[in-house]
Amino acid sequence: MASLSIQNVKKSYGAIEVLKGIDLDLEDGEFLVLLGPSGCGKSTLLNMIAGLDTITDGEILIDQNVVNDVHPKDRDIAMVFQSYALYPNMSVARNIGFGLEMRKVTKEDREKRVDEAARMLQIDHLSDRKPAQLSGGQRQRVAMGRALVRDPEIFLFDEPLSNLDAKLRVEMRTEIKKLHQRLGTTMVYVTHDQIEAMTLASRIAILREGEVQQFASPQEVYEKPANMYVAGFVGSPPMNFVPAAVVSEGGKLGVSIERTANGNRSSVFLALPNDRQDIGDWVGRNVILGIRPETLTHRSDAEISLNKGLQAFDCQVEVLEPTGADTLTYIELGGREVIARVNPYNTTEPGETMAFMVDMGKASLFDPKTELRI
Amino acid sequence: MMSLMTQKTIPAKQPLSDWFRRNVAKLVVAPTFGLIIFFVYGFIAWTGYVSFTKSKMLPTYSFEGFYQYIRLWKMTPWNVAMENLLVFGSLFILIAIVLGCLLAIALDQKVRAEGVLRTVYLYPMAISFIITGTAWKWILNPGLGIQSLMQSWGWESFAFDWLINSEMAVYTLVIAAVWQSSGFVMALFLAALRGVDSEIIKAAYLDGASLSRIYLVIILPTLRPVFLSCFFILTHMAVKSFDLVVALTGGGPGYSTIMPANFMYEMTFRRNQIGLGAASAMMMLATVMAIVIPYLYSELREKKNG
Repeated sequence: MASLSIQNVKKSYGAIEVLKGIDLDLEDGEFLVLLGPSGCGKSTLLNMIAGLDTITDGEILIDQNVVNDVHPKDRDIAMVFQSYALYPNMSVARNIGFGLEMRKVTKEDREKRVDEAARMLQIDHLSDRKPAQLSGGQRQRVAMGRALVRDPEIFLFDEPLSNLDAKLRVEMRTEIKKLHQRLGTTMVYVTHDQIEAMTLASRIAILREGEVQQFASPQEVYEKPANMYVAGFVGSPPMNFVPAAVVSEGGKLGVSIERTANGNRSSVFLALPNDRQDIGDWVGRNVILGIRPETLTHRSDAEISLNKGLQAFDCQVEVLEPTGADTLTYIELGGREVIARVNPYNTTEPGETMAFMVDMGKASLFDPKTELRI
Repeated sequence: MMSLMTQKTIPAKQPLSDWFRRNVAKLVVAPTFGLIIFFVYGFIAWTGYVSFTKSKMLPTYSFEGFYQYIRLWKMTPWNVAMENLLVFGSLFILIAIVLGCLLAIALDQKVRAEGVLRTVYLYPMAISFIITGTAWKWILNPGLGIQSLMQSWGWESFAFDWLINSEMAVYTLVIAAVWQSSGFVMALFLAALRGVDSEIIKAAYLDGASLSRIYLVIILPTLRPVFLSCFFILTHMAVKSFDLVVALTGGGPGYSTIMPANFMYEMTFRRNQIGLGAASAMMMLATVMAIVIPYLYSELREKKNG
């Protein structure tokens, strides 16, 4: 187990800057997920931690030791690759044990450890097979076994689940989570799947074009996204963005939003909770209001009386998309399409006006120019 | 029952065009198939038959058993030719594969001028063996080539006279043939190396394997099919090598560098010994068969299992 520190790390290929100064600090036993779209530099960063790619500038420290010039095999890390990267001519057992073989571990010790790892991943019955004779999920387990058996300081995962089908992906995701809970080893995991990031991470680093957008716990990333990019990337369906004006009405600060109700176009005032008085100097200016679909739902007076943050308004329904548990209800607010999660039994026909409520306590406000959180 | 039902549903109209549509693939293949049956297998059978006769200038068809084969194996030139084939064949195949494989690995290390180098190595393949033989005859000629060049540079005692040495001349064939074919072997290996997942190499690095270890233990074993392809392509080139000998050594000095194909040509077309020539041709076929049949057998069996 080890801590990992990435200090102002840069990477460029010729004139193209792929990573523009990354700073991440990871404590012993943490599970870091590098999340971002393809081409954001997340795999490059992982390769640099592994030592498979050179560092243009900055330092990477494992357990307070700078490892910039340490050979990959001496960094005491193990990596699981997207394509599994199993050695095709070797049996499962030899694949798992190859790292130990190269490290001159005795045959007895090696067999014991390979056996242990194989049993932990429930692939002990496949020991003699070749990778070509395995299914995708089994190959994935072998690849994990290969990393596991070395008992490294840090585990690296490079989109390990993206070649699996949906059902298996969920299974293996849980498997990795269990593995982390059992071993408590520091792990770094690269993915473009925000659900994997949310479920696995102790902290998420969201990358975009070689820059860290936010480095925080999954809950914080979800509830308090640092900017509109993060807000839009995390969550499914994504956060709704509504152009709004900050106004002060009856001594309360709030936002004013245009919408259509009962055939009339008019503005509605949604008060912000008292702890948002910090935005006083924004009065009269435009902001972007960010609302998660699950905080926008059908009006319930009982709940409103309990939660001061809930604000009610009417709006015309455009489209309904039933998903079973909830019905995604499309409405229009401030000229933008907005999704609300509504209980299937409280929906109205499209074209009719419905009563909604929104939890302003959980809403985010963004500066329309810088797109940063206010 | 099923076939009866389906036959009923096909309308009886235009039977000819229906027949044509069903058999179009067979019709397209038929001419080549017929030609191959006649010209390849037909002539093999004919040669086989003639080898059991006492044919001289013209073929005769009275069966004489193994007369020609017994005669053949008593002839010194034929035994020299078979020995040469063994020496030349094994050295040529071994060196061409090793060299081609090493060249491919070297070029796979992200060499800057790879495109140019690849073409340079591959070009000899575009030249016919006659040209290769002639060029190397000049290069290896003690009075014209390397020996005279080194001596003119002042290394008076330098000697490289394999071409006129009846003990060593067969190795000049190996040099020329390797020069011509190793680029082709390289191209085959390079294509296969490009197909190896780069993540496997990364994984092996992290596992602590050195580069030579990665190639020896992980990558080369996966290239087994390429080794086999190279082996069979080079084997048949070795067995049927004829023009290289004609151009480079002319079979000499004496008959020290003749190959079975040269022997066959000499007997059949120059010395009016068609029966003997046919027998030597059948021995060459048997040599190829001895190598190819086990290969085909193992390949087909593997497919059945896989």
